[in-house]
Amino acid sequence: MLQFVIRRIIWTIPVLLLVTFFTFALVRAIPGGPFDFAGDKSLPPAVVKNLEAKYHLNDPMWMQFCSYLIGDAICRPEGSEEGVSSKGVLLGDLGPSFRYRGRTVNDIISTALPISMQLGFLAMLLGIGIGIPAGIIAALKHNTPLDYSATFIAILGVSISNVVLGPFLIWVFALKLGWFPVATWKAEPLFSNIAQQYIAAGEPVPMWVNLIPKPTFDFFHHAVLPVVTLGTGLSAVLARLTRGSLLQVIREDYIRTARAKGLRERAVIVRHALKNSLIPVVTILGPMFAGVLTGTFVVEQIFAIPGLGRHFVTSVGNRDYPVVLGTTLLYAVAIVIANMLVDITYAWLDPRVRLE
Amino acid sequence: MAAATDTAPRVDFTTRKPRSPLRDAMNQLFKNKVAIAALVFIVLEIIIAIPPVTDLIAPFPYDRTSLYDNLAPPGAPYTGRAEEYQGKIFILGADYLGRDLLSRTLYGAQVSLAVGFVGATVSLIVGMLIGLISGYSRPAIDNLLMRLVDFLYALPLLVFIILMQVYFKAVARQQSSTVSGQFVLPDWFGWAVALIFGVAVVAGVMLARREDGGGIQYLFIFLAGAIVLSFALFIVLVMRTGRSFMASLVEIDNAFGGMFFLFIALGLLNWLGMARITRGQVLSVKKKEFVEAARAIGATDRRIISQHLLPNILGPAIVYETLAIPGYIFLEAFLSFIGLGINPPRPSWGNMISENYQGLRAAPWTVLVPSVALTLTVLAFNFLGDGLRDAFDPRLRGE
Repeated sequence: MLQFVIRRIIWTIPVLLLVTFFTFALVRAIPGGPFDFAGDKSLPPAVVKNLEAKYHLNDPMWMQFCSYLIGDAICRPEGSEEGVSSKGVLLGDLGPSFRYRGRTVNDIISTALPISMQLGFLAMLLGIGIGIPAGIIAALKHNTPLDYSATFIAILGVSISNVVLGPFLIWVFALKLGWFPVATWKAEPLFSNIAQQYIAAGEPVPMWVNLIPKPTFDFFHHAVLPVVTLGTGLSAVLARLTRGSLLQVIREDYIRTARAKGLRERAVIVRHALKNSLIPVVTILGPMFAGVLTGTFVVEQIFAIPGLGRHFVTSVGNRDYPVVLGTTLLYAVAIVIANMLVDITYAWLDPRVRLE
Repeated sequence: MAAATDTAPRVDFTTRKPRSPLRDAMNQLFKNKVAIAALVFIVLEIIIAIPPVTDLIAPFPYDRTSLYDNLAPPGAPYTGRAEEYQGKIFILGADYLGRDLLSRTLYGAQVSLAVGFVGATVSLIVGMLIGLISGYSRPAIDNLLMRLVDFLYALPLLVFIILMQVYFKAVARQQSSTVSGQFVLPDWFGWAVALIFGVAVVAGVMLARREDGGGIQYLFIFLAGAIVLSFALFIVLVMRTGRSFMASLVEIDNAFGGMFFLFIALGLLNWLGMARITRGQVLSVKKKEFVEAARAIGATDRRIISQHLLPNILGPAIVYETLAIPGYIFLEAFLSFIGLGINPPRPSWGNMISENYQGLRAAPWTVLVPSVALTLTVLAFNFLGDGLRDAFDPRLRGE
């Protein structure tokens, strides 16, 4: 098992390196540069030239990539004092933003990522909390009206795009009924005194402080619509999967055996059937996590939530290379880690996988 | 002895028509009312989405603005000045520029269906090819291909699709500023493409129905060939006007209203699941007795693949792709929503929602109409996919 885990961790290294390289090349291949426009006006060529020199965009490509990866100190021996320098991605420095003056990519991520993570976490919680129980109930009440209505709601749920559901929920619950606010995200850090200390000292607030929200009414009030938008699809997918898998397991011989030897129905379902039927559910949690990430793109756009997805979309348009690279890399790391955890969980649940 | 053979019931195995798994499944499917209703809905939508038919049905052109009628509610009459539209009504209302929502929604169906089917076809062809090669060839090649798939799986695909769309859009803008004059297709091009596809379908169906073991795969191969040939013809036509290869790709993209590059981005990145499924199926089917029997009587690899493996794999592949179509449609809607999909003023349901949802409070129908269209279409594909899955896998029936 340990060997499997180690092999799995080592495999992520080339993946992340290649992601960095591809993104680096692709972003720079897009016609147009980060300094084409300032607002609506185009910049004079001399200014563009100075800016490009400041951010080392005139250096050879390999040197730019090298210094992005392992820092200016190693890859750019001379002239590293001039312009903006970076310690390199490997040391966790994602460089300066080209468009948000005076802010580093790390700053942007540390304020935007917690918001996206709160949104994604709540949506996954909703998806799992509704989807899996609904699937189990539908399977246990197979071919009853309860099953049919659950199945129908689930297929409806997977057929509604976030792009449709978001505006629809806004229209009904925010505009018509006025129960919820239309947009934005209201999260205050739970440890606001710690955040205050950092702000008073003039230092950036570390990410973990922003991550945990204070469970105020305002927070949940604003969160309901975006979380439901993102979570509905997830719960529908999970409900369908759980139901199908449980129905298949219930027909297995060992369930009949368990019943035949006189176990109570409860014990048969909980101990024997459920445990095995959740294996495929675990495997889909990896892709589902990726789905949540991409879902946040849409939901943040619709509800004007200043999360990472919104930053990514705007910075691609602005050719803000470091922000695009940084966020892409972050997504890649998140997906790689999620897949790795799923693989390891799967190997733990199903010993046959380890041997392959 | 001779008498005994004469009286024995004669069962002629050789002349009985072979029943393919595909045909069995189709028979099953036709018993499923919901799936058939979904199929009928999709077929009707496809007919509506054929460009000449859409032109005929839609009351207005998709880009016809009428400033007197902006945000006209459903059922409002046309109050503009243009002669040819006098007396027409906006059946489903009009958007913020006074464009008829019904017409735009009908044209939007072209985009969603095209993206859905092209996404599915490309992923079916590429995925099955890679999966077949991987499952059927030496372990070294299998390993190499599967590591590639593993690697691509670990990428944040949507992020890369967005990056590629931005790249393609920027290239298109750059090219259109360097090339002067618009490229106009010759009139006969549409007929030539229709002819190519007609020949491909007829030849494919004839080969597929041949008595001595045809197979549906010929139809797919011929259709793929027709698609490639049509694009080749287009590119040759454009390049003859002195444009570069990239510029002619941009011309294709313009002809498709910005869909072509979306197809490429989709096709490059969405065959992974298909490849994995095909490989798994090949690995399990090639160990079955009937494949062994075929090999024992001296069948070639080509024959085993085309006659024994493909027909058995095609079922799960089609089910998988039908259930994947909603994903492609959602992706297009999302990309158009953030402005990286279809080029305005061409309507897609995604960009209709994004253009109109700012005015949700004043004119909710402008968002509701494309939303309902999108949801119904995806719902139909999901019902059909579920029906197909039940039809191909009798064990799951009734679930």
